Parts: sequence; C-alpha cells; structure tokens
Amino acid sequence: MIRPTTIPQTLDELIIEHGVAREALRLGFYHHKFLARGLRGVRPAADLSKIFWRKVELETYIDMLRVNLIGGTGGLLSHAPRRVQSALILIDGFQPEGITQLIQDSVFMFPHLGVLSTVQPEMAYEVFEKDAVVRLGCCISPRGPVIYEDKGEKLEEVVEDELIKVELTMRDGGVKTESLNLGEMRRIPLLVGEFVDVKITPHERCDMGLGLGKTVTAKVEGGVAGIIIDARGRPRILPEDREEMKRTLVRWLKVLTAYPEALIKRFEDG
Amino acid sequence: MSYAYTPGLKVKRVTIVRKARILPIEGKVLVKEGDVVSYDTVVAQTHIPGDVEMIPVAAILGIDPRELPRAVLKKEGDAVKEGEIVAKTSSFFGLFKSEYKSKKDGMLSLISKVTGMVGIQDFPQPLERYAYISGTVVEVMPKSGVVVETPASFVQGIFGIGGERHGELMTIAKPNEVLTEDLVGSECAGKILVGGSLVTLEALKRAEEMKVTGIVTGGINSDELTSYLGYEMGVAITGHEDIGLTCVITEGFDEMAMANHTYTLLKSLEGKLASINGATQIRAGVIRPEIVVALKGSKVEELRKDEDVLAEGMYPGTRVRIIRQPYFGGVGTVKLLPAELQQLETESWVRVMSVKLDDGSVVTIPRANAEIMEE
Repeated sequence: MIRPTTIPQTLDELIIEHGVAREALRLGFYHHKFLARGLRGVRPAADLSKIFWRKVELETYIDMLRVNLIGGTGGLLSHAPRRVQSALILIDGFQPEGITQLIQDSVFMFPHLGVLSTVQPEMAYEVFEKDAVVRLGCCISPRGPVIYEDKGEKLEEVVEDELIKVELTMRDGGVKTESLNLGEMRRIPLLVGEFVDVKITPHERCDMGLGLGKTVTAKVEGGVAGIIIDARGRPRILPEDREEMKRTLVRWLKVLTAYPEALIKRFEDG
Repeated sequence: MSYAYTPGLKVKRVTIVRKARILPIEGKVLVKEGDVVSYDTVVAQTHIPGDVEMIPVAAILGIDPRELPRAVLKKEGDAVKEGEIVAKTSSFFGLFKSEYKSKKDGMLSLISKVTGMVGIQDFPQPLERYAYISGTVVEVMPKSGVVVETPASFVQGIFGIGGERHGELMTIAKPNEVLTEDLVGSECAGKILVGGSLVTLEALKRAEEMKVTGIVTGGINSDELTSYLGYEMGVAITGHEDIGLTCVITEGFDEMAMANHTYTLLKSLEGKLASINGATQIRAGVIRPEIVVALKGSKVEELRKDEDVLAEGMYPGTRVRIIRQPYFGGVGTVKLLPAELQQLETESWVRVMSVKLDDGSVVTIPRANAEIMEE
C-alpha cells in the first residue's frame, strides 16, 4: 500500500486491501516471534527441569495461549465498514489461541494517548476507555489438532467430527451449546458490556490452555462483533485444492456476515 | 465554505526546499550560518564506530565462560592486530595449550563471562555529510549538522530505491512509453533519465552498465524490482540499497503513465543539475523519494508567501489528481465539497468530494483519494 491514507471506494478494493492487511500482519508477527526468542550463545544452567523447555524457548517466547488480548490500530481497521472485518483481520493475522479479547483503536488515538499519558495520565486513561477502545469481542480457538505424521497419522482420521464444544450460559440462565467441526467458524452476537459464562471442551488433540482435551471454563465479554468461535485449527488448516480453498474462504466470510451479501453471492457464483 | 486538506505528492515548479543534513552521531560541523554551499560541499563530519565481530572464544578454547576474563590477554579498549594472540589457556601443568589469534586489526570491545564471547571491533570509519542540495546554510545545530535552504523545482515520487545522487536531467521517453534498454545509450552516462510508464528490468541493468545516475519513471513491475535487487523489498525504509543508480517511481507498481504535470515540469528542466534521492518510508513520518533542482535568481521571501497560501488546502476550483481506483490518474477540478458524510459501495461513511474531470465527466470520490496538484 504505497498510498496508505487513501480509502477503498469499491468492494473489490476493500477486500483486496483487507487481504493484504492479513498477510502483512501475519508476516510482521512471524518476524516478531522470530526475534522474541532465547539469547543465542548462552550456556544453559545444568538444570534438568529446564531441558524440555529450552527447545520451546529457542523457537519463540510468545505463547499464543497466554496472549489474552489483541489490540489493533491504524487507518485500515478504523475505516473497516463492519467491525467484524477488523476482528477477522486480527484473527487471521495473529491466529489467537485459547480465549482472546479483541479490541481496536477507534480513530488512531492509541499512540497519541500514549504521549498524553506522560503528562495527563488520568485524562488519557479516560479517553482511552471511553473513546479510543472499540471492543470487538472475543475469539475462542483451540490450539491443534496435534497430528503425529511420523507415526502415520492422518488429520481426517484423527479428527473425524467435532473439534470443539462451547456451552454458553446466557444472562437469562439459558444454556446455548455450539458444536463445531474442523474448518468451521461461528459468530454469536453478544453486545459490549455483556458477559457470559462459557464451558469449552476441545477435541482430545486440541488445547485451550489447560492441556490436550481439557475443559476450560471462563467468563467472556462480548463486543461489536460478538463471540467468534474459530475451529479452523491452529495453525489454521486450509484446503490444498485451490477451488476448494476459495469455497472455504467464502463460507467463512458468509458465516461471519463479514461483507455485503451481494459480494458473497458474486463470489459464490464464481 | 467547506474545504479539505489532503497532503499530496508535491510537484512544484518553484518552492523553498530545506534539507536537514544531520550526522547519525555527534561530530563536527564545518560550515557556518549564511555560507553558500554546493551540493558536494562537506558540511559536517564524524567517525562511525566500526562493526563488532563476536567470537565464541570460550568455546574455541574449551573453557567455561566464567574463566574467559583470565584467559584473555588484553583489556577492553586495547588495540589488537591480525595474527596477535588474544586469549590462551593451558591445562594439566601446561601440557595442553590452546589459543585464539585475532583474524583482523581492531579494538577489543567486549569480554563476556556470560556468553563466553569476545568482541573485536573495526576501527572507526570517517563519515562525511554532504550538502546534497546547492543553497544557503540557514541553521547550524552544533555537533549535529545544518539546514540548507534553496529555491528549487521539487518533484516527489511515490516510491524509490537508491540513495542521494546528482546528475543532469535528460528526457528519454514520453509519459506513456515503456522505458526499455534500447533507449539507454552511452550518452546517458552520469544523467538522470526521465520519462516512461514503466522501466523494465533490462533497462535498469543497462542503465547501471552505462553508469546512469538515476531514473525517474511512472511505474515498475514488483517482480522485476525483486530480480533487480536480488531480494524482496522489506517494509521499512528504502534508499540504502547497494545498487549503482537511484530510481524514483512517480505513479506506482506496474505500467502507469507518468502524470503529465510531472513530466512537463521535469522536461522543462532538461539539462539542469538535479539532486535525487530514492529514500521512501510508507508509515507515520512518511518519506517520499524526490528530485530537487536548485534554482538561481528566485527570491526566498516571495516564495514563503506562496507556501502560506497552499497550506490552506482544497476549495472548489482546486486542481486535483485522483490517486485510487476506480478513477486512478484522473485529473480535474474540485466542484463540490459537501460537509455531510456519504456512504460508499463498501458501506463506509466518509467525507467525499465531487470532481469535474478534464474529460467533462463528474465523479464523486472520498476526499482522501485525491491530492492537490501543487504547481
């Protein structure tokens, strides 16, 4: 984007710009993770308990299961016509794992408030809370599935049906159960400031933060995009066949109502 | 009356150009305020610390990092020569000995008992900061640098590669013509070539062979750019590429005719000495590539008044150029600047403007998608 202050005027321009943003975030985050890793050249202390973790530290310090909040800023997100588009860009770019709150900067205020906070911290915080932060919602996504290819395992044999089950206890006491197979996404409307109790049971080869197959309970907040359950796998699994991949991408956009119906129909019609 | 301000690429026949010529680290300023300098005048100089090479000496000697300070024969800050023993150790009453000899001249800058590394730093290298543009020194920042000012013709591009260079402007292609290698001959040596809608990979290679100083053209193919550089461009700042010329792209990627007003201005400056810089940074604190032709005889004070007028922005009647699809490249006059937000096809609510294009048609676009044509 060599003219970053311009605004997409057509839907085609918009969706291409969003695609570029996803890829830019993915590559930028990949590079960041590459840098955020253990110091090279240090001889580790002879502590057997650390031997296992050393391998992980060499890859990156960043454990997405421990990242509870992702915030996006910049004109592209601010100008996104539907907030769910911003949420999807952040989810696709960073591939959050576990339960992750998503927020975005309303009109590129975060950096300026950072400067203001050095002289007027209370004022900066108030503006940050009330005007700068847009609560997009929450992403629920398990890490995995873990497939041991060296043992001859195949994805479709290990994960035959349900990848994740989410039970939501709504404010009125009613319980809503969402069951998603691998490759599915779902969006559950829940407004900003509303909370629900969730009980998440991942597939035995998936991890929500407590270990493979372990059930997790939590209270999560909604947002303008609601709760997004992402069962596309982490790392995200895409069909290898190009046509199937296109159909899959359109299906995700449709289920999230991320773009106008007319555009989705045009994609579906090929 | 409604108005808007959209910062656009500057294409100005006459303006005031100020360039801060700052050293990366403290040094010595060699000129004083009021001095008239040429583009090749050294205005400040310093010495840049040499690169540090980290050597795992503890591992080479087979000792624990904590024992390294005892094994190293020099202190931090000492000079070392190529072939000189930097560290040695012996064990079993001197039966087993090992040593490390420096592979280059330099200074011992680090002995780490944590990592077991020894750092050997190259000697400092002198760095000179040239004026880059011919003009007058209007400000001196002690130990840091100066600001040079001149009346000039000034053209900004959208994207560039290569650093600061100088050469005479030479038009070799029309705005909508592809700049191919057959247009680049030996007469182009030392020149800044202007024109074309696209510069080909072969033309870039040929220009470098012919020792062309720079190329200013409409577009470039991104794959060919990668082939030319030998690597894919990063997202940070450009201008430091290790290439033999500077290339300024005025419109964008792929074939795009150079804007007429840009071409006309550069053509009118044919044969004049220009300063060119491809440095580009596309994020907050944006930097665009540029061509500067210092003008003699223009009065700086008169130009300052014009600057104030232009800073006011866009009104009905302002000439603008559209810089995004679906009307990219369209040139026209602002007709209306409605204050109310309007919804686009994308569902975004934005401030728009109505532009009467030169072909007579009227289009509505987001205000952010046009730039003022400053001439």
